[in-house]
Amino acid sequence: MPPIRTSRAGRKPPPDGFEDLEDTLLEFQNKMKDAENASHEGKKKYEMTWPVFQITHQRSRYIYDLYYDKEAISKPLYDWLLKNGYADPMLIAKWKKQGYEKLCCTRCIQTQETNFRSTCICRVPKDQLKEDQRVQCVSCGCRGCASSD
Amino acid sequence: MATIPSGPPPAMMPLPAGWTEHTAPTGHMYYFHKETNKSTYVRPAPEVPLVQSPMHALPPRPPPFSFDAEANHDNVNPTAPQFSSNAKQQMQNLIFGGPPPRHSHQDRGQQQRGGHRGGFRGGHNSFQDQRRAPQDRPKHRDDIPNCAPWVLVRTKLGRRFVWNKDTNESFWKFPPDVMKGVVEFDRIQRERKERRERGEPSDAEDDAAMAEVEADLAAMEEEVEQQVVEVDGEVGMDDDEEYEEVEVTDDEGDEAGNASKRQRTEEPVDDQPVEMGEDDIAWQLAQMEAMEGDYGEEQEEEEEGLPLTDEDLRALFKELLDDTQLSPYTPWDKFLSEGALFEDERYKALPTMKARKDCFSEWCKERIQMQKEQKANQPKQDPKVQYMAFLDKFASKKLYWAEFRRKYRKDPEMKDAKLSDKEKETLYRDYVKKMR
Repeated sequence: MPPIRTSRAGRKPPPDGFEDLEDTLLEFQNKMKDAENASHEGKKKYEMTWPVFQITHQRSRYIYDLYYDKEAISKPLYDWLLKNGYADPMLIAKWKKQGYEKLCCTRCIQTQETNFRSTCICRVPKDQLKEDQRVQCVSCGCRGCASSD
Repeated sequence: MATIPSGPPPAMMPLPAGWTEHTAPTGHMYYFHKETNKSTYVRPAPEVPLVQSPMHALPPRPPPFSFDAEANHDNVNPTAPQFSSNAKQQMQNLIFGGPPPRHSHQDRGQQQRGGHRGGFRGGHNSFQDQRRAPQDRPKHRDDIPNCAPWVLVRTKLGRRFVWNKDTNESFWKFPPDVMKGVVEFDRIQRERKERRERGEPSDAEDDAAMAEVEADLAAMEEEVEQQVVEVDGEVGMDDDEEYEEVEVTDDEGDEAGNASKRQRTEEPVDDQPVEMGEDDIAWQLAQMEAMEGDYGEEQEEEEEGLPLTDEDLRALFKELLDDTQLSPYTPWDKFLSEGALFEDERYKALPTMKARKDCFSEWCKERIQMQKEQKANQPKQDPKVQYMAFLDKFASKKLYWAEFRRKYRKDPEMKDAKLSDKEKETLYRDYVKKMR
């Protein structure tokens, strides 16, 4: 049986510097809540989860940028954020690889789940698509996340 | 020639004793003094000097267009055009800080269209140069058909206003009856232009009128310099003035550029009066501070033609980011969605979104580094101190720890993660024990 987490005990307090990001993270949290509670009316079934993927991507990107690009947060704080689910470590791991710098979600590179063992359409570079071909992938609503775009 | 107003006294002021009003063969009014045998285009002021309104107190500058128009705040023409053309005046502006240049939507847009804004110059310091921006002044005058005393004046910066020859009133916003005349006039102008474009020779009287107007302008400029033009003979001076005109106009540095601009203004004719309305003035005032700097730079840019370095542009963009007052921890998307960026001229300092984003992350890095250093310099505060102060305020004998915690759970001191819950609890219990 996994340990029961309460608000009182167990959880470590955030390291220094968390208060700088707190507002932005709270905003993301609220956005996520709105997306979760949004009505499904007039939407396709697979469209429902798009905003969730998008917000996750944005939030992960935010933390990734702060740590790797701007070097604004400390290692302990970064680890704490990952541990507490503020960013998706699997996604960030992909961003560090060449060719995956803009990856929208990890589901889009899953070749196991597609009919022809290929990646999602959003991984195809724009210049290899037909002229004026607009794509939006089913899994997360991405319009193209190839690194060359 | 004195028809373009420049005389200090307001319209209805009676002439001082000895002066008489006459009409020159060209149709302009002039004033003649019998005893001294002096004549002038400037309406002579009465003996008692006018009390200047505080608005004009700052720099000594040529008298405003008409006091009536300026003092009249009820109708929405708070600023009648002001003229400063002589070098001395510009010098004074430079020293004392002249009034800010007034620009309208129209000429801003135009400058951009015409590719006249060469971008921005200088980094943080160059904003002090804004004072050097040249002032607006009347450039061109046309009679409005069927609106006898009203005259349409175009300024150096391409804006237009109407001026009543008789009452010496001037308005940025065209009064309704004059508006009709202006629209009619614009139509005629357009037709004439089209005709010219079709290659038909422009009628001779047209050219003559142009020449006359040019002469007027030159004379007006001359006048502002000297304030009083003394003439021996009443007739025969036109030629002199026309001769002078050539010199004066050639002295103007960016005359040619402005001339071309002016012609372009004529195209969107019908909506122009609307543009000159209240919104325009309000907009001007609002933008005055923000845009002035850019303008000054642009003007200078035109004069000197120095290209902006990449660094300058980035510095400019960073300054804009500074001005947003947002935390450097804010994501880029948020900056964009705030909308404050787009409205600013400095946003266009960098041409592409990618460049902007790069500049943004650079700025973030710098700012965060700076903030960190500041924080490091500040003495660290013990979280216990704050918590004890909080307890001193709110702790009560009647509340157990659990109740107390629930009651004040939203206060920052209770949320403070640096002090663990256990510590908070023991501190509270001790404190309450001491109270008993």
